[in-house]
Amino acid sequence: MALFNFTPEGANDLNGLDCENKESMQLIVKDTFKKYGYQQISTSVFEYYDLFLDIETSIDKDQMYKIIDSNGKILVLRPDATIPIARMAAQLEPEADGQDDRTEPYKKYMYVTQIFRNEDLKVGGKRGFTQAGVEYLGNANPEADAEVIALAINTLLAIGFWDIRVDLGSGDFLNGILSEMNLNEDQESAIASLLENKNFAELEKFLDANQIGGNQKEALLALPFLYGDFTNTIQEAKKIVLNEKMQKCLDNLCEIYRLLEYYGLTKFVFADMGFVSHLKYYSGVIFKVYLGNTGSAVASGGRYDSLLQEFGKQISATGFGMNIDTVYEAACKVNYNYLVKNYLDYAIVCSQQDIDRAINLAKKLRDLNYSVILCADRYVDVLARKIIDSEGVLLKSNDEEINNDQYRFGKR
Amino acid sequence: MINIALAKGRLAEDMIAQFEEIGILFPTYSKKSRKLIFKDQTNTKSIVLVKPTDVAVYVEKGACDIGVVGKDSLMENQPDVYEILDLGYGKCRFVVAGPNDYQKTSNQKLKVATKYPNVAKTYFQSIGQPVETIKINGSVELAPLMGLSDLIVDITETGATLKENGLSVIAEIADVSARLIVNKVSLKTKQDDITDLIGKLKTRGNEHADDQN
Repeated sequence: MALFNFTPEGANDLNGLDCENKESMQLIVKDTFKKYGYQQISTSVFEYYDLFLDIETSIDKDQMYKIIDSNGKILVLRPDATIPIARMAAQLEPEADGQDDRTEPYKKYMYVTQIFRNEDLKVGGKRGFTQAGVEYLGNANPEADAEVIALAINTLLAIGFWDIRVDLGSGDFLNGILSEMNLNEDQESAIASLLENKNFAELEKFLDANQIGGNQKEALLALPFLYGDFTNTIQEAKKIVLNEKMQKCLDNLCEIYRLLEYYGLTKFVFADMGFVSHLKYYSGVIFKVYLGNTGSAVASGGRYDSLLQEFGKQISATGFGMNIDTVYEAACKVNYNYLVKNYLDYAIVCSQQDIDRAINLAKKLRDLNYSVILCADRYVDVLARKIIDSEGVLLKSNDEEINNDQYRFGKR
Repeated sequence: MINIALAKGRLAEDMIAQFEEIGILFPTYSKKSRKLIFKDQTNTKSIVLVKPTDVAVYVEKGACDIGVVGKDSLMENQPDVYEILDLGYGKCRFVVAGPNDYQKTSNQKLKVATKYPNVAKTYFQSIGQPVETIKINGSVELAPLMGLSDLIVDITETGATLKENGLSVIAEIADVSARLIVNKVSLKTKQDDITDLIGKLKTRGNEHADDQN
């Protein structure tokens, strides 16, 4: 079968108003990020495969697009946004010589970029997606975490969603329990994956089989159920605290929640103490953002202080990434109308005889920053409808009045 | 509205019976009906009948909030869902089986026929045995008899079908039973309704376990 008139599975064209709509949504996202002082950056599409081999990530290596370049090096198409930004930030950071000689205390980066991943096409996976996100570097305090969480919520509010839910948790809580036990890595990762899937039945079997009992068993079995209303969940979590690490973790979450009160956003914030940090570099706070009508999280983030250590720099970091494609799909599902109105301000209908006047008129309008199209007069009916949709104005080039230099243009 | 995906056939009937016991009735459901969606008496829950292997897909993608599916399908497809309850029925075992006179003769890669290539690969990797899997879709017992493969990996309840076809169990991989799975977002966004349902099913399960003891 000839494939020349199809896009590959998992890839699609954006046309009609879809492209304009998605673009205008991205502009809202960028504008919101910029209001918090984030600076736009763009990292390379190509990265060395080694970068993602040496750092433990949750990205499936089989999902990366690999290219062998002319030197025999393996490259990948950007499979993740955060690691390249950490690499870049570490490069830009002057070598520490004992003194803190940083010119800026904080670095705040934002991006909207394409992420390339070869997902499982059999269950509707995609070849990649657009991701928007921020990375807040150099601030280890809860205020930075509260800011990025507030930003994630405010971005979705700005787009027009109200059915937003943020689950706030921390990998440290589980790590605190695990630190009480002498388990090997395999056992720890088995427990983590059972918790991650809230697989209570198997978890209990596993703990019994490995002779884990007492407080630790109780705490681990309680974890899958510690989610929901923030204050209640933290109250419940306090009951199973075994050590200082766990207490600190709860205190930190409460502090972030307190700061979010000043942002007026706590009604969107819930807790989930069952979060597992897959990535070695995630340390501490983890959060996930859901919309009422999507089957997966639309954004996720957290603190990853140890990532920059991989590049030899001690810089704390927090941030999030948002899947713009999922957000856009969710917006379309509720028939949300950004409708890029006004993408057309004027349409000039002209015949071949007065094309000179039409071009002249269009020039004047474009100089005034209006968008203008020219069109043969036999399309006048179609055009009239289009221009009404976009709240524009239909002009006729043979109209003496509007060709007069004194005529003042101004829509609406 | 909570959408519940059930595997057509016995699992669905067992589950609908369980729902009845906790007071959730599906009055329009009957075995003979060809409809695929049924609502409960309060119009707040609906069950959707799908192929067993599709249950997890519906739940993972959020088209359904909850599903009941065999552990075998979860092990094979590794969907990204919460696996919340072991419902304790539909019990069987994942086994490796071969001809009664099977003996490992050479160090060649073994050929394994199965409906569950991922489960088979993972198991044989864990014991350090190189294998080639052949994915087939039914009557797996035939494969070694016809020389298609050396061994099979399949689920069995009593082992009767294996025995009748001159096969015997060589190794046990895992126990299998029906599991309640929940979409990761639904558990949060429809928390009250879903937690309530899980709680009732769990209590019912415990009572039954007590009865049996």
